[in-house]
Amino acid sequence: MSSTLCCSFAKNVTLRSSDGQTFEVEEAAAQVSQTIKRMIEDGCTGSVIPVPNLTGPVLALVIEYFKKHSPPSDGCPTALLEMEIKDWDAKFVAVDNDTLLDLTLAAHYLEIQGLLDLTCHRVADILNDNSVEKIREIFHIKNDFTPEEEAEERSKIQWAFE
Amino acid sequence: MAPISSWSTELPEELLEIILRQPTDAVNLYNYRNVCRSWRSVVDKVLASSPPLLLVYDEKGIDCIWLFNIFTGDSSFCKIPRLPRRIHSWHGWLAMDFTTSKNHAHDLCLYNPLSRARIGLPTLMFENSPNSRNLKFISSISNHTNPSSIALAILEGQSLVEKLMFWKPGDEEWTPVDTPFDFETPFGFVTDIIGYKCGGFCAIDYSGNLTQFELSPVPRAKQIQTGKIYDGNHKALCHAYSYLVESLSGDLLLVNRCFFPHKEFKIYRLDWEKMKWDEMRSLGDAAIFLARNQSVCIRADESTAYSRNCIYFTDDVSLFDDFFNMLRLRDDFGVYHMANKTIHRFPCLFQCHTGLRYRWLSYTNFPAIGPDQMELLKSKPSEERSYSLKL
Repeated sequence: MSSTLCCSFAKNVTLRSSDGQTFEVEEAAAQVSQTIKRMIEDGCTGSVIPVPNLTGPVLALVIEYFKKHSPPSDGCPTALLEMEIKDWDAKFVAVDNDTLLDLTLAAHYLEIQGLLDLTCHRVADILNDNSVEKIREIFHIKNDFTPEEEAEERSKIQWAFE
Repeated sequence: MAPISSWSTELPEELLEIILRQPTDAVNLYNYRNVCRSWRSVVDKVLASSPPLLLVYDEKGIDCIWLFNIFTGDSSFCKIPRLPRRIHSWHGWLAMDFTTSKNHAHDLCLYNPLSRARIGLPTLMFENSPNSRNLKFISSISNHTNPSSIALAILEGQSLVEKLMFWKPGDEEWTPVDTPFDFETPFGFVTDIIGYKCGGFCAIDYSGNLTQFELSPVPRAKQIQTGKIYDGNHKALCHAYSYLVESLSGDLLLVNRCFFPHKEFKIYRLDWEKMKWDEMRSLGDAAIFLARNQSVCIRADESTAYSRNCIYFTDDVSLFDDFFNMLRLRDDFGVYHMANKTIHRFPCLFQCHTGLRYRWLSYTNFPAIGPDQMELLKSKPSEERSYSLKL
């Protein structure tokens, strides 16, 4: 594994995923994440920044997001650019459910507000109009209600079913 | 990438909360309670801080009801299987009256628009036809977390004779209870009745007389002598309208919506030891959503869309229409700020016409239904016949 030391003038940082993959990214872009921004401010820029909650493929996606959303070097983004980013965002979260959930967790952990809004909105869309069983299936959730609990719920309004 | 084995265990609750706070249909959100335990607790948290929805339905006949969030402008609608003549709401349940002009019976049913559960109630029979009957319902469920009985105040016919009827599960018919209210006088009508102190009810009439009802072992009524709030013998009928609300700490509150000499709201708390009403200058951290059939007192803070020390009201004073054709205040809903005694009216959310009725539909203390029942209920045919109200 190569650990690239970043030079201050290059303004690059290296991020390391849970499975040991490293990614070099511009410091300005990585600061889209409030978590990473704090780490940089705390002086972690000289070494590799570990991102233990994210696997390589997820971190790679997040870095794509960083690059698209890094502050433009030439001042304010134009309306056209904003529209382009919006389109890009929509395509970015049009992924399979598992990846979407990984991205949501990553956005939460790395405090990337824009990505969090984007993914949560997309997750909410998926939840809409799906049955409870389908939601459990999509999101790998086990029904952890005991038969007793379900019976208790039932007894609360038992007379509703007489 | 390693698949996530159980998202719910890896998903921090605060993240699930962010997801579930995304705008969604109220029915969907309620559904998510049945996914798993952690989802249930988060949904309950989200629902607990959600404002009551403004329930709007058209008496003239559309087979759905609208649910408005007056704070965000979001709306959703629920299909109702059969168009009732009247709808009333209590703590998440809609009471539907399916009377037709052809028969003399009032087919009554409780319906939960979110869980779609329905509860058949005994038919109310009257000797005269419904068209000549001026029927009003003021109703309440005792102990709404575990509803055990229902009270109905019914105004019958032009003679303005009012009856109080009670029902509890297993009863085959409504039980009328003799009341100390003087229904023969213009001030003897019940203006509000609430389930109070597990299993019992409290009702108030236009004169401000309070009566407590206990249903077991035998139904009985007990008039409570309280100090008068008003000077003189009676407040004038048009000058104030009274509501009963249970406070966050379990006190019995009387909220008066006054029209004269000032348009204002006054709140009184019953001191059960001295048996007198004490005026409250502030609601503290509470907000009250006021409506006949169901007023709720809920905690408010910085995170809630509704504000503390405020009273949110609907136009149900126009229900005076039902008997007196007066005080027609359509589309009159807004908020009263206790602190500076000002009223702020909400903008008209929808095109108004006289057929529209409003209710608050509160999420608080919804009776829960497990996943099995949800499916069971969904699979039931929604034809008229499934509404045959037979116990």
